[in-house]
Amino acid sequence: MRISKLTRLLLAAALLLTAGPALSQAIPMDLELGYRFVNVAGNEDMYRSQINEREGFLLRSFTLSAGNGADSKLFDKLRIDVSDIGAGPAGAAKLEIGKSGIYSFRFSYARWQMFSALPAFANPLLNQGIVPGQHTWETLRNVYDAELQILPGGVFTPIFGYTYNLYSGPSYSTVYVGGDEFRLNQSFKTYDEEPRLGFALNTGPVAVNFMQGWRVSHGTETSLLTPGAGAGNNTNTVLGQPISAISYSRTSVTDVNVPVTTASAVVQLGCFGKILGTYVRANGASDTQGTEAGDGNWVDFAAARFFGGLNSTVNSNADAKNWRGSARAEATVLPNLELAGGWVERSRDQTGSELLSTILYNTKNYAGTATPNITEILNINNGLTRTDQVLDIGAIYRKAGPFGLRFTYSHTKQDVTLSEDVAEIIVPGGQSGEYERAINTYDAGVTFSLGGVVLDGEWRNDDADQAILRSDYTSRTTWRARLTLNRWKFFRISGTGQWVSQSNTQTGIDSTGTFRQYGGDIDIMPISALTLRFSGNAFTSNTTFPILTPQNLEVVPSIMIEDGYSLEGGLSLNLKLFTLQASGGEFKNKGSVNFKIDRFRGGVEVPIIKAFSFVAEWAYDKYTETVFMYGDYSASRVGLYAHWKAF
Amino acid sequence: MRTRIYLPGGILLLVVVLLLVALVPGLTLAAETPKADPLADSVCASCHGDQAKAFLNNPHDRTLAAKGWRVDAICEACHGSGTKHAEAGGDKALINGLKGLAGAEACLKCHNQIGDHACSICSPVGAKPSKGALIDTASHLTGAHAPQPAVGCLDCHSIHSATFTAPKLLVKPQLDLCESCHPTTVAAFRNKPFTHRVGRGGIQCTSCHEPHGRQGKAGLKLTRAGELACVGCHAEKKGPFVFPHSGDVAGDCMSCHQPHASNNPHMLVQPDAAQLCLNCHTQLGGAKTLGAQPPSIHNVSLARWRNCTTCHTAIHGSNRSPQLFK
Repeated sequence: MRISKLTRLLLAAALLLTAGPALSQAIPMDLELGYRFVNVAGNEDMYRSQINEREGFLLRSFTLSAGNGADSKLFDKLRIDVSDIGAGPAGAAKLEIGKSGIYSFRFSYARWQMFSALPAFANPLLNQGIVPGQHTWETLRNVYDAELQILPGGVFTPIFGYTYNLYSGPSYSTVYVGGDEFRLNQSFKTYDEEPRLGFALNTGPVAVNFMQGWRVSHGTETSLLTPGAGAGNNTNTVLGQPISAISYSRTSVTDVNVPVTTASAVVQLGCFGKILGTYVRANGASDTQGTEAGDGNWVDFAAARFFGGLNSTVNSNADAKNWRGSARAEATVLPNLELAGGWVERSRDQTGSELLSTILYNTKNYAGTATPNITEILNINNGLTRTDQVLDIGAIYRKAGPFGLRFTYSHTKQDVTLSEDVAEIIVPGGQSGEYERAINTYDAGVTFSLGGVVLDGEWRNDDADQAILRSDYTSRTTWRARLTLNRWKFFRISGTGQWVSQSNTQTGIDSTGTFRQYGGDIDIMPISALTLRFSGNAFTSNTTFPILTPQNLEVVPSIMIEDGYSLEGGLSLNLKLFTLQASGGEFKNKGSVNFKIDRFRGGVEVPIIKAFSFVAEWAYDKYTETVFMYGDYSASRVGLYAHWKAF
Repeated sequence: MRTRIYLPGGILLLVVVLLLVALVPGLTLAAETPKADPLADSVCASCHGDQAKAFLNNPHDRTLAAKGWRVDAICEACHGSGTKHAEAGGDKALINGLKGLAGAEACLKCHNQIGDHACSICSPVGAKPSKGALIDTASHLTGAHAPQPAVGCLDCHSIHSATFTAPKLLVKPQLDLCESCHPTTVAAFRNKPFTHRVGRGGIQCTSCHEPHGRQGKAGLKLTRAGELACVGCHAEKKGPFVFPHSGDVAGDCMSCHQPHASNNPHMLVQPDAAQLCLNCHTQLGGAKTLGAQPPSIHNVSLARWRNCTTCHTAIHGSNRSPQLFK
């Protein structure tokens, strides 16, 4: 059995613990582990794309926390939190250990198994009943992060950190080549790591933080024609010739280097307020080397040739100069009245270049006459700059009797400039130039609390002069309201609502969108051991854009409609002999996507002795589509766990 | 595709190690030198013994005790002088009970600056940055959850009765806690078909949101390089790309994706990929918008052309294909 990095690190943590002949008493902990069984009927791909809970051993939770009880010479703070390590799809672990004034160390780990094999997305063959689509993947992401602080809380605190993010997996994808799309088997692996060091300087009224990191990323990707996929998606001939692939392969290696500098300073102005400033600089560079080769019966419209093979190399690089700065002041001008204002500016200046050299073999013209090999060279240099500036001022009056009030105004200015090349690489159209947008935002809120009644209302209005992207709005208004009645121990009720309306009335855009969302919860506790819970949510959304269909240049509406609800109910019963939790719910959506999901959950915990109990859990999900029904599934999971509590 | 039984490498060893950690008697051995009972001369503990004993495991106690503070002084740091309260036999009117906004005021005496340890007793304005935490900072006084009569520090944190399995002295697990005021958002995580996995094993609300962050910005965290929290995990989409797409040029990830949960595959804002793409890639005269050139020849009435990402696979940015083909 191969010992993973996680295991080694947790083993190290455990060894630290066993240094505790110095420990004076038991460390409080909570541990739950066992096995989960999974049974899926129907489209298991869709189950895995949505839920992906796997069968296998599972460390559901582990918490260990020691304060003064663990007065070891090595540490006076220790906390470990572990959640769902084992059978996927996601798990996390965190270790915090330290000794006051000496050191503080934090390590976290997270793991995600991601799966996607959807019947109706990116699937040109759906009408033929072929599922899933042509883009599927099963990937794994592992993220590690560690930070060590020496002399925390002191005048000078050195800080060392390291982050590692590994993303890898097999996938299926497609490539467009020679007049058709062909399915590929892909394998890729990208790691992204950043060692960093810095310090915190605290002189009392002035605190400064500085951190320098070096982000390095390395990614490799290999793609090969999927066996049996040589016919491509298009079964028709092109210019009278069948299009097919005999072989195809592609490799790509990308390296990225980004030194990241972060600095911040806080100046405390007595009891009056404080001034804060931050600065970030991240100048990145990427370099990509790649190859592409294949044989087939293909066509190149730009060269007006049929060809029987290709061989290409690519060298590309990108440079991005990013910086971000902010300054902010906060002041307490009256008791409970705070004023704040600040300025943030973010700048991105990016250039890119590519040299792509492709040789087309065995060429012939459209009349069928053999012609020499063709060498195509594409040399692109592009550039863009983007600047975002935000000014905001606000006031908070924290207590006016039972009321609290707040108001914020902000002005955002966005500026994007594109060079000629980057603007015309897809379809010539004169897209280069400068794009600007200014947004004024007003945001206000009021809260009220008295006698167990809590009311919360918020209003926000965004007003922009124009759009940069066509999907940008020029006007958006948001209302939110929340009411909670928490006056009695046996009954609690709350409700929320959100109303959003947005539009862009610029000529040629004329888009509108409305979003409504309502929710309500009722908790009833007729006896202290029993809680009944009911909740309902309803939502609608409706957005419309006029779009131009490329095949006939007709203007048609792009409509997105959602109209759905959820109803849930559940109970929690805590008795000496056992605890029981059960819930059930239905979620339904109509509109652009029609489906229904039924979910049921149940769990019982039976104490065997004071510190030990057995846990059994059951979960059932049924997903039903009302149009295509390719993705329908039902899935049940049964988990049996041992639960040990010692705190 | 068959369901396989997963037994990740080392998981059994991990379980054994954790059990050993918990069970090995060595952990529970008495210290070589018996320590004095820290509560022995405490006036507060003479009446509030259970609370005082439990508080020994509290980070507040730990931090101040390490600096030589006596137990009673630690209690009085928040509750004010307890002399009259004790002399009156425990009259509740003579001690600061720290309910509601008054409780928050006591917290804010130290925690006026967002940071891991922002205790003005030990470090007046806080000096302990964690990754990215101070990029877009605000204070607890003006943040999104700035204390008001309707919401205060003690609505989320319990100084004396925090749930053991919830860190940061939270009164209950984070997702349940956030749901008490944001039920529709949490219900979406629970109900919608395509979601970020939040809660057990997955990310937390605070993976992306700074609960004490600035007003009006959804309290979104930024990476150390000032990017949206999305690329903190999805690092391969950071670039820089030779041929970037929307997120790097204008807009951001949310131009195409819903951040919490969605009814649409890949958490897109719209289920039909072609319509989503054409919302931007359409030129109807009038306003000049970025990327508005319409595609040529594509017949989006046919399934083969309607799924733009079938060919434009490198939709988040490419280093080799101007058309984002690869």
